[in-house]
Amino acid sequence: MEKTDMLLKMLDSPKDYSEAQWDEILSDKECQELYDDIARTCGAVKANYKPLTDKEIAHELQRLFQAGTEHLPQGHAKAEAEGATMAETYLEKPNGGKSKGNIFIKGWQRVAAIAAAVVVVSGFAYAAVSTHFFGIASKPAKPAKVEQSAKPRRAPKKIQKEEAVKVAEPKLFDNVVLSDILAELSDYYGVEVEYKDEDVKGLRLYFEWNPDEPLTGIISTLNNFESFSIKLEGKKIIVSKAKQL
Amino acid sequence: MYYCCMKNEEVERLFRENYRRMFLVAVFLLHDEAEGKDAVHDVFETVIRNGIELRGETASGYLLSSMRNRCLNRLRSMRIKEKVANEYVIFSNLESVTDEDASEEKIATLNAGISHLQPPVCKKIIEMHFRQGLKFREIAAKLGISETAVYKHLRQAMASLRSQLTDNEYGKD
Repeated sequence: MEKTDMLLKMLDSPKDYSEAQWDEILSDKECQELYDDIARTCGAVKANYKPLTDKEIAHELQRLFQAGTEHLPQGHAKAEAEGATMAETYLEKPNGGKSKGNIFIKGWQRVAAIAAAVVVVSGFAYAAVSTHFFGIASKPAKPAKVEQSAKPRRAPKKIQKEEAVKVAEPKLFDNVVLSDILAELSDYYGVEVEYKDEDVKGLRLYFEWNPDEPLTGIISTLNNFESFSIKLEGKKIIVSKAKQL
Repeated sequence: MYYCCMKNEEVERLFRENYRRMFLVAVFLLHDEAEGKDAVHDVFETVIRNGIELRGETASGYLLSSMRNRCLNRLRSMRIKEKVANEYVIFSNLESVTDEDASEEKIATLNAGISHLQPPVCKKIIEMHFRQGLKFREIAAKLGISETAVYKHLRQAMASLRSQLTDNEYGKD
């Protein structure tokens, strides 16, 4: 059997083959090319399958605005028909106030944004993972995430001392180098960090840290990155380069 | 330059203007509508939460690039078996993916290429596999041909589409 036929056979029942078998077949250049072609074609077919309607887009916009409001103001459809924008309807209440937790609240977040402005995406690999997938907010489209996001969270001890407002918030590391993230985690969990490869220190990550989660869970989540490998040995986190696919 | 705050109406305008393109590229990369919607949602949520101001001509480019990065990051975070099970590996080396590799133009070229595939059985196999989700052995049974013949037609279709993408890249007709 040709290698490419073998690849196609494996694609029919991918779970019947081990990771090592996948590694081996995809290390062949011809198979790799065919696989990329298939994945690309699959993406194009799915992307072209059903054009989005205006109604679906309006629904998604509503979901975005709802993510930051405690409850949805009534009567948007009517207001929109009268010419109001979604933002006017949901966010600019008659009293000028905004719902608690509104994503448009700008105060300290603006400070954080200015701080983020100095972070420049350079030649470093920019990788992302989150204990909630992409998530910053609850996602109605994914009930499992809603449940996870709704869970009360405890903030790092340092933050609790300094700013009570942020107590229940997880921390989002957006484009932050691995060494800074691990420095904060090691401080919080009381462990040391050892780098087997210095190169990985500069990897930039998008990672949401839930301080409620035990360190083993965080290590497991971080191991989803393929650019580096991380393990916990006693009271030490050991970080090394991961094998490239 | 980006970092300040936009008015809510401006966010809504950008959302309405860019949603379709962003969703298209997200589904192209993630192969899943619900995940595509979440990816676009997350980009706008980050813009809002961080008070990022997107101005003029750079806004669409920024949004699209952020969205691509999010999708690629999601793919990077997966184990190989998970990727393969979902046909997620769009490129063997995700680090080399450029904006052009996941662009509207490339998606349009591929779809135009699929609609003109010859012989017609190639197009049929693509539809049955990627749209209807049939396995190759099921396609073989339905079409009354061997699995090896299905593999052959599929390889032929992929070579044809690859060639069209290359031609398009170099500006040929």
